Amino acid sequence: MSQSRPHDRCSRRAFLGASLVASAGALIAACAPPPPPTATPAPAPAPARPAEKPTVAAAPTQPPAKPAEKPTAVPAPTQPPAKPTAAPTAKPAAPAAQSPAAIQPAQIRYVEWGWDPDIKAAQKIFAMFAEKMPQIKVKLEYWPMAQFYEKLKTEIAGGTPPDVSFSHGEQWGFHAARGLLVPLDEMRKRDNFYAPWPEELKTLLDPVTMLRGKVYAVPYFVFSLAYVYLKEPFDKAGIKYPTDDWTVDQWLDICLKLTKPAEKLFGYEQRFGHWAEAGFMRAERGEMEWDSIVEPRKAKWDQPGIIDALQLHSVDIVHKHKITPSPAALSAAGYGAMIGTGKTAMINDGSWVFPVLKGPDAKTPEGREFDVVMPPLPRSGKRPSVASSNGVHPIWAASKARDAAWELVKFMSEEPAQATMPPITGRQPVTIEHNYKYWVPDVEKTYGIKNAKAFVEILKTGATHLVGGPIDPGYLTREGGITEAFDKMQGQGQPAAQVIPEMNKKLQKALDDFWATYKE
Amino acid sequence: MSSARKQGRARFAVQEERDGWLFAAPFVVGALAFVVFPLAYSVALVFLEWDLVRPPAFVGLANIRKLFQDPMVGTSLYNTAYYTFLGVPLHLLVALTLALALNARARGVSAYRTAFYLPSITPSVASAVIWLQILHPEFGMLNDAFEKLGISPQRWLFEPSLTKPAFILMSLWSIGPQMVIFLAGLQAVPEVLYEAAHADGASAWQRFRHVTLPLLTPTIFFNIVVGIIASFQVFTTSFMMTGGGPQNATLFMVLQIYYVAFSYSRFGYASAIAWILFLIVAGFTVLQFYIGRRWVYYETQL
Repeated sequence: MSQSRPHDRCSRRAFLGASLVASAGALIAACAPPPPPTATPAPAPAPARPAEKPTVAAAPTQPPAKPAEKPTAVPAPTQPPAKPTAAPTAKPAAPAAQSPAAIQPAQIRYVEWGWDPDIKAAQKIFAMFAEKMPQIKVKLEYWPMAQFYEKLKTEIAGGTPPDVSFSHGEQWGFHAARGLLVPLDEMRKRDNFYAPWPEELKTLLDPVTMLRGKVYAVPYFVFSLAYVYLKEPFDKAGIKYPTDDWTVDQWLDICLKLTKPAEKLFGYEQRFGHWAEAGFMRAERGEMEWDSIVEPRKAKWDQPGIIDALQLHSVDIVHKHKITPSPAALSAAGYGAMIGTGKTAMINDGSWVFPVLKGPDAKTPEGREFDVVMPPLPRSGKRPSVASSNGVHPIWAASKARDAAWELVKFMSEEPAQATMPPITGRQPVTIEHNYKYWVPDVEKTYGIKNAKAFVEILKTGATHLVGGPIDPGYLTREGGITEAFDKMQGQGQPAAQVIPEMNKKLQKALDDFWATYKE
Repeated sequence: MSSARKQGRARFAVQEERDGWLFAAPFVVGALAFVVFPLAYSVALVFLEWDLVRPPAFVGLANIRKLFQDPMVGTSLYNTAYYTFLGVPLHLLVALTLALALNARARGVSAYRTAFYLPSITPSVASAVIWLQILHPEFGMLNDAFEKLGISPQRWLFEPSLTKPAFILMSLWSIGPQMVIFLAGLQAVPEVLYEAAHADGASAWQRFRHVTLPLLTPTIFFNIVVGIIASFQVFTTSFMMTGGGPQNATLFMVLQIYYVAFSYSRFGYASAIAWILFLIVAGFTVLQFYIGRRWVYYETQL
């Protein structure tokens, strides 16, 4: 019996084939770039506002911009600020700031470093921002810390960078040098927005926010390194707590007294590595290890003061005085495990160590009583301080909502955001004033410490270790042999005088290779 | 055959072919987009300089010339070769020994098989964290055991001369798949051959040497080929645990490729290193197939 298939019925094969074609079509359609949000304005000039009304500065901490003597147009985001139109003899009027209402509706994407407290702080700050500027919708994304910059580079390659991203101070130079970031000078001038660059922190903040005379990032928080000590070991040994005028000799003497090898207790815990030791290196005889911390071209590590400082802080404290656990033991134990459990009595660290010692995230349920003190003075009398801004906000040039992005980064670096961030993250706000107003009272209350100001005062004299500009600091640490040299000194106790000159040659070669092939 | 019928058949053949391509299309498109194109692009990148940001620029053979002058490439190649040529034979030996032990008809053998296989399904990141604790210089289990045996504690991951051996030791943790493949191979050896050898008065060693091993050579060959390819691609442990240190002792080739590409933004040069790695792996694989003809015994070839 033959069975003929009715022609009006769809065969299984035809059905599957049609389904496949439909699925492929749907897939291709899904891959198409989404249409731009209708609310996002193109970077077209903003409409001129009636000049009769004085403009209101967006920054609450800034005085309102003075009304221009003659009508001034609000500058377009990508246009230079409008020139004052006052008579030549008159003092130029301050550029008019855009009022919150003048910012057009927009949706912007912000990418956060995936550390929980930072994410929580961003969420809270963005909620506040939404109240102030409801027309700007901020989409918060957070990426894992370990792959943050790799993911960012992949997005750049794909042509879809975020509007605003978190960045460490030394990580944006590569992109700025290639025109991928928006120079912020004109917007700063237009809005008279200079508060997050206080004059007393110029040395600290310029290298991490400026490249070749242009500003590319707005500081969000800063850090400094000070000595955090547990009170219990001092009390048990009958040693007075250190004071800000202590010296390196006194520090070493205290550490030796607090070290009990039989009990595996150490008087000190060193944060090993160039970033933490740069302060010691520079304080010894005032020598710098680079010709410039931004875009360095000369490695100058083989200077006597630097070698002496490294001999003490990288070799002797581990192998001769044995006052600190080895880098191996510290690394294997994990961050904060030694001081958090009382195996070390003192650490040279940032304020992020506080939660490890006391509070819900402490290494022990009961926590530890502690306080802080400034780094000890070397014989040079110069304070060996490291400080920097490791949290800044660049705006990406691909952003179609630069004005909105600018409003967001401004908001994050002003009150009330600067008051909101410290209690959640433990991080230090940008200005000295905000540190004393918000951060010091908060940490003194939360952790029961009395000398939190040590961290603030260090900001005034501290300097960052290396910014690099377009050079990734990771390139110099690995290819230039810095990590290898530190391994030799700290791990194997090889003398700094032997290791450093050899490393300096390798480092210079890495720098020469970099600049020889560097193109923008 | 009528012409209408011929036409019908031809139409059917065309339809068959069209449908065949249609159904193969997801794979063909996927393979072209995600395998063939990236491969071809990475070949092109060898002759380009590309930082992901600016358009790629042609640099001729500069990346290849740099390969031969870059000491870090030499270091990473040495580290990878050390890890591979010491690690793979050790893996084979341990996996085979375990498979022989677990091939016995003993009570609870399945539980042991599961126990030995279990670490293989542990995520490599979790394994890395566990091994960081085991190899801890002061509080680690391994050094505790050493101390009990009167051996001085070692700085496993912090002493350049010990780091690679420590990594090889660690890699034995995930020996399960090789062990299972050996176990399958052992169970495929016909029992009758053992009985015949036994009847001929062969000792246990002679049965192993002259029956088991020859019949196991295809399995050994497979494990060697796969083991060498996998060893040349070692990455996660060094990325997670040492970052290539101390003193570049665990800077393996894939880690170096990762740093050059994603930290230094030199994708052309990273491609050149990647292709060198590919050529080395391919070369060794071809060599093994060539040498394998002399020692691998396939029962079906008799």
